[in-house]
Amino acid sequence: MILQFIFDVLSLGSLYALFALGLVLIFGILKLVNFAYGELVLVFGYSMFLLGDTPVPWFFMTLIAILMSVLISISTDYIAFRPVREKSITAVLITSFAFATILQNAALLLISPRPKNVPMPSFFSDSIQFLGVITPVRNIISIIVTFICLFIFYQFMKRSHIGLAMRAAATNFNMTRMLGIPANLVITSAFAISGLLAGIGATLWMSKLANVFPGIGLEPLLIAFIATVIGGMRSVQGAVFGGFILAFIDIGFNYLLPQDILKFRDAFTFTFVILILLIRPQGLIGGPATGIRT
Amino acid sequence: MKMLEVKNLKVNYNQVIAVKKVDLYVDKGETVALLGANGAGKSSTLLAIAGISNKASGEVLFSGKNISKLVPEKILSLGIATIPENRDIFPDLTVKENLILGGYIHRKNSKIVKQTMTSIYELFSILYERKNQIAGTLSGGEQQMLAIGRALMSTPKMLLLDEPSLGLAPTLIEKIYEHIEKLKQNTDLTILLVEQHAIKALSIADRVYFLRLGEIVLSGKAIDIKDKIDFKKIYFGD
Amino acid sequence: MIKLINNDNFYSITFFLVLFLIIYLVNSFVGSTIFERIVTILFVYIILAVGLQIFMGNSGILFFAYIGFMSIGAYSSGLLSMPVKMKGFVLRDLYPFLQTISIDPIIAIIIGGLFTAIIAAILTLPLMRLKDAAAVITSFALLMVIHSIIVGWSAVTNGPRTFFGIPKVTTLELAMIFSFVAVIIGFIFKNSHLGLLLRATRDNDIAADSIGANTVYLRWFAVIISAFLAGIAGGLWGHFITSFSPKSFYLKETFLIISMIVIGGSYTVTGSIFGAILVYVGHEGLRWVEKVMKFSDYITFELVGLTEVVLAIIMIIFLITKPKGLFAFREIGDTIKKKIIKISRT
Repeated sequence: MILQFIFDVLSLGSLYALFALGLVLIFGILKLVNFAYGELVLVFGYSMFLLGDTPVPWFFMTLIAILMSVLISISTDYIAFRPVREKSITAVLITSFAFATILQNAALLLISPRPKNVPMPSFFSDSIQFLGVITPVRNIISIIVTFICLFIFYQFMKRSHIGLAMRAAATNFNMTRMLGIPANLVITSAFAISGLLAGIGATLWMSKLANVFPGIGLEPLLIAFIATVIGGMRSVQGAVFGGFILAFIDIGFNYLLPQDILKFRDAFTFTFVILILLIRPQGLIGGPATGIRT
Repeated sequence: MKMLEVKNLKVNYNQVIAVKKVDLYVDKGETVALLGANGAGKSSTLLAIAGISNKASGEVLFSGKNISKLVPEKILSLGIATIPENRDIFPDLTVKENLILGGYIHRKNSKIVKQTMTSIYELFSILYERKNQIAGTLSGGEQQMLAIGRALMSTPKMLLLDEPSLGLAPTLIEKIYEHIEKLKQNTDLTILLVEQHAIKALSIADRVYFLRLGEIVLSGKAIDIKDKIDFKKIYFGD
Repeated sequence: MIKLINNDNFYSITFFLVLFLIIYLVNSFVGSTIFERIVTILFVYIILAVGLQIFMGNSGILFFAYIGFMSIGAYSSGLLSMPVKMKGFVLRDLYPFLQTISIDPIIAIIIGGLFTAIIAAILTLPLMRLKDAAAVITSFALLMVIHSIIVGWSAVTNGPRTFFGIPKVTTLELAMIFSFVAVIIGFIFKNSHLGLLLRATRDNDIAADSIGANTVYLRWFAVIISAFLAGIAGGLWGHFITSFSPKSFYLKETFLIISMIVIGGSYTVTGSIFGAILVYVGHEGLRWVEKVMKFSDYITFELVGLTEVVLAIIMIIFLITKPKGLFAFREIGDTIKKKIIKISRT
């Protein structure tokens, strides 16, 4: 029982952690909230749907769909962020919200308001059993993929010049520019990686849902948000742990709470978010604090 | 040709006029100090030259080229390195990582990066000792040295130093200025230095400008000025 | 009398009184139910917009949770005014003490507004000291909390299902009167001492603190008035449309009301009113286009979603080119007053 619980938390948490990581990357560097982030899942899903009838092998479909997420992520910067970045956090929130609306309604308009099928390999849903834990294959893949991603991400941030530049930019953007590091490169890279992570997360998310609809982006956005706040909005470690903590809370609630309280799960989770921001705004994990909006 | 020329600089933040009118120049190899009381407009001038301030008007020429409207990244690539007032080292990165970032423009050429880093470790031995330490845990003086070292990693032609003595104890200020003196001797670096601590600055500068309320009220060679001026009058007026 | 004419608010308020009366007369002239429906809802949106402006415009903080308070007003007033028989049918599990209550709808709307204000007072006080990202995220979270509670508390709200059976009480006249009162409140607040202090905190809260402006309490006060108007608007709307569900008070509506403020201009009451008119009329117009296109022979697919896309694009364009909105700084009354003074001098 316990093992099942731990495994469930790990597999859900790994998915949440990926989403959170993609969001915190933007927030950490730009100190701005990307409301259009969840729509990257929408982009992935519809790309997969549109490619579904083509003879392209599933794996390459996924790569293309993830690439689409990356491209839309980068264009979020150009369309919603860059023109108003200097103005205020409110302005960026509204423009990214507007961009999210455009993406959602574009799907609604150009494709359909009805859910569409997303091709997924059938073996994803096969159950396997080990050590008394029963789980679909996709959950194991989720954990493995996430840990590989986190490892690569960590190495990248630690060792590459761009990674180093991004970490610096998250602390003090102006100073980073004063060292000759091009601001635009840092920002575009952040959006690109954010899109990549969202795309991979979307793959895992879709493996469960198997279909896509215009409102699909909301839940991943909220998850990324909540996980980031809980873990710590400024730190990468925080976001990742936040993802696992949120999964722990969600699954814990499912196991423990009676149905009539479970209905209010979102109310509890969001109240928790508010409490964290009031009492411990650096999040439960915190991490490198510092960083004023530059 | 003068290395740096500032003509008719004005900086106003909305209603507050930080710099009314500043004209100054720095020759190649010179160390020029910009002095004055708090709020006189020294840092604003420096930041305007560094390209950080978008509230500035006027002309800034570097080796004859107009750099007034350029972004900070471009200004660095032209050879001007800025060390801001708070040092602004990256506290969560190690000393070495800070230095690597300083050398970003040379990142494709690992030989230069290595050479420069070695010479900086020679200049500031403490940085070598602490190279894998998190920069935020360094003392104020060490952070100042890191900031200077980091700026030097880009092998600049000119250094803009904003109040290097800020927040440091007197013995540390001595040390920092010893290092700046050493820099002067070993390299042909051109330095524009902003300081509140006039006496220290006068000891290493070739020429000085005094700012008060956004305007230059006195300028000249350091040796001429050192013993003659009434500091109170210059800083605070009549 | 002279004092009145010199009062900053006089010209603006008079202008809108005249504008509202013109709208009323146009409606009587047109005599179509559809038109009347649009105009009635327009007045409700004006109340909403002015309410939002009172807090957002003067404090500078994005009030994401606003629509949540509209929902509280709608549900609470509906609960109070719903006929007892209806309640037994719609809300089977309703608590006994609420089951037997059924009061005059207009009083219910006002009580709903007051109730909303009280809830806002309790929920928002701790949040008023936050700034920037934290303020925005907590406000967003609050909207989610309110939404979640409404969806979950089926005994009282019928959960995610439709809440219906509310007596249709809101007439054009009623909406207009409440709207006008809201406009007056908006102007009085803006030009009051408290409004001025609040705006000082908007621009520089540290400096404002130094002159004795208590940022937290100023914001709190504004939020309460704001929520009150949202609650009234919710009640009026509920009693017009007679049935709604939690879906009507979520992100799409939040986006709509924010776009009204952004496009019209959040710093002025005039801006919020014209923003409401422009956006709402534009919204209805685009909806109409969607429907018309559906039946035309040229378009083979449905145009659902066109409205939102166009609105979103306009929002982005406005934020880039005119970030302070159409009426960035001056109320319409100020412009009129200036012109009158000019004319009287020649």
